[in-house]
Amino acid sequence: MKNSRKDEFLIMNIFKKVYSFAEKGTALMGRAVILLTISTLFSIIPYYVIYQFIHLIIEGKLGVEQILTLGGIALISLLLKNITNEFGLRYSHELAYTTLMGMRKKAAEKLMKLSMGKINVYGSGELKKIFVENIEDMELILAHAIPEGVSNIIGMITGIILLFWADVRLALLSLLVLPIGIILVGMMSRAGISKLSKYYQSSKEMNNQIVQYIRGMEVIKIFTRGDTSFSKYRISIENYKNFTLDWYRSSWKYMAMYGVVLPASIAFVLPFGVLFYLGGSILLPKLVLSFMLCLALGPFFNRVVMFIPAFPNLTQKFKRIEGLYEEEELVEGKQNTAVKSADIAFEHVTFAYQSADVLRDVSFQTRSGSLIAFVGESGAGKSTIAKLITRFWDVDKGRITLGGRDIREFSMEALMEQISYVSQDNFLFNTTIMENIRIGNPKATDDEVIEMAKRAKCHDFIMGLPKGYETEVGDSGDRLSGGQRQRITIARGILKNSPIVILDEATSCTDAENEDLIQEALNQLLIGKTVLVIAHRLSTITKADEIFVLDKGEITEHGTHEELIKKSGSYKKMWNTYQNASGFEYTSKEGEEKDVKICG
Amino acid sequence: MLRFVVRMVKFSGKYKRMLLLSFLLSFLEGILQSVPILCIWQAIDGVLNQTMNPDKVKMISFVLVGSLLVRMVLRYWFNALESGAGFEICERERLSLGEKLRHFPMGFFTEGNLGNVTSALSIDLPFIEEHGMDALDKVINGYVTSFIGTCMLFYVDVRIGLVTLCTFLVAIFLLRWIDKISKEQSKTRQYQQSKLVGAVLEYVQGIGVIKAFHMGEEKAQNVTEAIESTKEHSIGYEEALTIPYFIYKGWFSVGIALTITLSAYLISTGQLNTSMGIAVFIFIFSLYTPGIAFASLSAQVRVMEAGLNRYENVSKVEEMQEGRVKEVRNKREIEFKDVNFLIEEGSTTALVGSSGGGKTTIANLIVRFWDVQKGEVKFGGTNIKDLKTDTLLSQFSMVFQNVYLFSDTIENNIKFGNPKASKVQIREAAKKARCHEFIMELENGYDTVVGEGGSTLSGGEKQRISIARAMLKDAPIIILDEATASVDPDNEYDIQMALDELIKNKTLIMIAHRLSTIKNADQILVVEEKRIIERGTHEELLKREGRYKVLWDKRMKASSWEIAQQV
Repeated sequence: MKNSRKDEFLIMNIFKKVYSFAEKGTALMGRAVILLTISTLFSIIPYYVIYQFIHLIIEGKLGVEQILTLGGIALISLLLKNITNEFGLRYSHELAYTTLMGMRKKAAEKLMKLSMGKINVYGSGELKKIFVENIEDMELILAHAIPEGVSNIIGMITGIILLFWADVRLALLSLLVLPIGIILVGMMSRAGISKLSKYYQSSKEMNNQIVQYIRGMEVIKIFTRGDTSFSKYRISIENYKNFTLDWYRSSWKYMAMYGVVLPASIAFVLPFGVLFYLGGSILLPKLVLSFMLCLALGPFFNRVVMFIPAFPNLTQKFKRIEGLYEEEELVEGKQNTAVKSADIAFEHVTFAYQSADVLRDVSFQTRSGSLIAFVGESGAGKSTIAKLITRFWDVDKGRITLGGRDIREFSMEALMEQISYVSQDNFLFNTTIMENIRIGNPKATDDEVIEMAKRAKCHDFIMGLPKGYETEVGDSGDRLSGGQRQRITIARGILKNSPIVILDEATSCTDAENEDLIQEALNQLLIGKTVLVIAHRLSTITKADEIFVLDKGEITEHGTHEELIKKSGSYKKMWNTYQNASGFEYTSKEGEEKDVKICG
Repeated sequence: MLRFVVRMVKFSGKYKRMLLLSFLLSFLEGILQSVPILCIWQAIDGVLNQTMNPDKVKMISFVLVGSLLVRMVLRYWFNALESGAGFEICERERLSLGEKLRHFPMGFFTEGNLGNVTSALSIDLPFIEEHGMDALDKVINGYVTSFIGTCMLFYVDVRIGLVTLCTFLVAIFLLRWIDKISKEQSKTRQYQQSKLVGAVLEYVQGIGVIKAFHMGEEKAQNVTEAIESTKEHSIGYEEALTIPYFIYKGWFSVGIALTITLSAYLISTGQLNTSMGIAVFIFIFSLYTPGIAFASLSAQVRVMEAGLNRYENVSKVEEMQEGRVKEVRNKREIEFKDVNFLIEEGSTTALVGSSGGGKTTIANLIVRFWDVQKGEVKFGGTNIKDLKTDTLLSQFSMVFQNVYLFSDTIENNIKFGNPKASKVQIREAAKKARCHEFIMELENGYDTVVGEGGSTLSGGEKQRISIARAMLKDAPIIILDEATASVDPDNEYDIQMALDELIKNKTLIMIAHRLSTIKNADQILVVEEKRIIERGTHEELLKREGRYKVLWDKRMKASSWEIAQQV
């Protein structure tokens, strides 16, 4: 008993929680419930009209005038029932859509407050799904279940009260179907529960197989494994059908039973009603009224029982979204002023991700205007350093300072002002090239934007486009090639002109086709900056002021290229391996020399 | 709506009979729903004529309870048939589409089409399978019961019958009108939905940039606007239909009120038997229920029609013609006619040129991911269109753009290359492909299950597993896209070692970027603007001082780049 009370409490809680996203939700809810309730009440009046008709017929007093009056009452109450119902539903939909809007807005705000690390864990596909599909999924329940549920309950109660007024005994008899119906529904869900998990399992498996079969088609074809892959696909589809039908089959008999029994109180009321009438304890008008009310109550009973699963359903659907709302937010500092120097220092930084240490007690310092490089095997923690400086994640121990101040003391805006992070994220917005570059500095003039585009080696290809700088780039820039997008984001970075540049080489040179242009563009971006390079090709960083060698999250060596080569430590080993991998004999020493001129 | 009925019945194919039987049962069940009203009529009739006695009461109860029991059986039966048919039909469609997909040209599988096929199979078909048959039943039986009900009222009294008939006829017109409005509305709603998706995608994909350039306010405003206008349009949709729905349902109310009034009048003037009149009072309330339900049913039907359209569009794609030749007769040389070139067995051919020039297209045409429109591609002297696809593809291994791993164990993923391979052979291949070491470091070793698309491994690791897989296949010809073959610079060395193993003693066709591989190629084809503009060996081409020379110089420069800041 106590438990069910608690459940009830939780049920109201979930609705309160969900509707709290709607501005003026209570008012809308009130309007919807009142209108829908009035509508149900109006729907009962015609039965009373008929009761009066029969009453008058039996007494032989039915005249034209009364017929017209009563007919008019029936018509008006039916029309009022319809109009209040439509408007009630209109408000309940407004409530539902306002709730969805509130949820989406909250999700959008939430994203602004989360660290990039957390956001990347979700991934854009998952986030889009939460924003659009998962939230949309609640519409039906929100618009219909609650307001209609409430009005149905009220309608049911009113009908029952009227029935009690007509005859207490018949009213009690009519209620008999309720316990039977509820027991049947209970039996159904119990019978289904064991099959339900198999159904879910097979449905998930089928969707998996469909995706793999389609996405893997290229591989399947090349390896001429069409037959085996198709048979896997086939089995998952057959299983899905079999398990689903198995589950349905277990429900069908109960569904058939309660679907018939719930609206069938007439089966009890009719014989007893007639017997009571024969015994003289009820008059004909009330008897007919009882019959009609029984028939009218059927759909109410059905809908009220159907209403029950709406609660767990909504809870389950909301859970998927709630996870996002409850993510821990990034705590921003208040420091908004610019820093005096662009020195970055790591002081005994330790960072673990998913309980595995990624960085252990890392300390280093950079001077303003120096070129620092990080090298190491993949997984050594190089990229993590970049991500910690830009606060994708926060350090677990130690601190990172910028100009002598802990980066957590800055507002994100002030911190990002100082740093350009060049990574694979060469995302462009669906607007013109001009506007995409101007993002780097909203105050820049057109001429300044074009100047930066020239420096980033994208002016030529932009002018080759029919609309030049006014070309729309399409969704996330998909009308441009990867290399072109990359150079536009570099132009944006040059325009931003922040004192620190972090360059993740792994992901910044993905387009082999235009590598040379991208490199020239990057050189422009780096002029006069403090530069941190996450390096993968050792040849690119031989001129660095300091190279840090990372191994399993710790700095094992540091120094200039020459110093490290002399040490014959792990750097030397990497250098040798690297030279083997790049595969060509450095016959073209001149080429290297030439290049130094281009770079600096 | 009748169009939908015809379409669905056609769609059901050989399950047509099963469906029609279920509709018949459902119809009988619907008819039996009127038994209580008949019983009430009988009871009242008996009461009014004072012929009612306990025996008659007993009989009426028997009939009533009996009809309930029969209905339960009928319901169970038609539910089973109906849902059964729905699931059987959709299973059949899933399987037939799956079979067809194998014969679609690979070029069909673009990102957009992948989405379409997946949604058709996992969203549209399930919707039809869960709701389609039920909706169909409601449409068919709605019409039938309304028709029979009207006939019954005609039998009771022609005037009452006429009122009912008029109600239905006008309602049919109103329903068409509502259909038109909601069709227009749902178009704008769909458009709005796609705008929302666009805005949300831009927001979540661009969130990194938004934060880096603190554009939060501006971009948040964009997405907020899209969210708000979605709400406005959704409510607009409901609003636009509020009055039409009211008129539609209100019209039935007018019908009900008229019938009641008319019946009362007829009773009072003695033209209608009292008990019959009372039965009409009761009956009229249930008569219009299916008609009223049509309003909301039509929305559901529209969703299903859209789903069917999408599904049929996908399954309409033309399949590739299979060749019949099952053996490779001659030397494994590949010959292009019109774009003329020949790749000899055992040779190395490098395709170089700007992106978009047509290098990848050439590679795709060789394995018949597309068919050529003019000219021919010959393999071992036979036009590849005449070869059985499996025969052709068994000759090739491709190390390509998308490394796709199945969500299965690593062992099975490698074994995909050759299902007959032993454990020893699998490990051998893994060692050669330089993945044995990292696999052994994983908790479950070769039994580690990789996520769908291989998402739990790094790019370089996935790449090496795919190379191991190709090694097991041991096809005589390798097609290699070098640019994308080295997705992870940290693992560049390992991947190159693995590739070197793979291409040993094979015919090699590569889209080349690495200088050393180009230099040693037997034949270099420079592809620009869909043409082969130069061909020859490295030395020959360098001497010519043409396009190749320009590309070569550029690449030399790029490979020796050094980062240095100008002050």
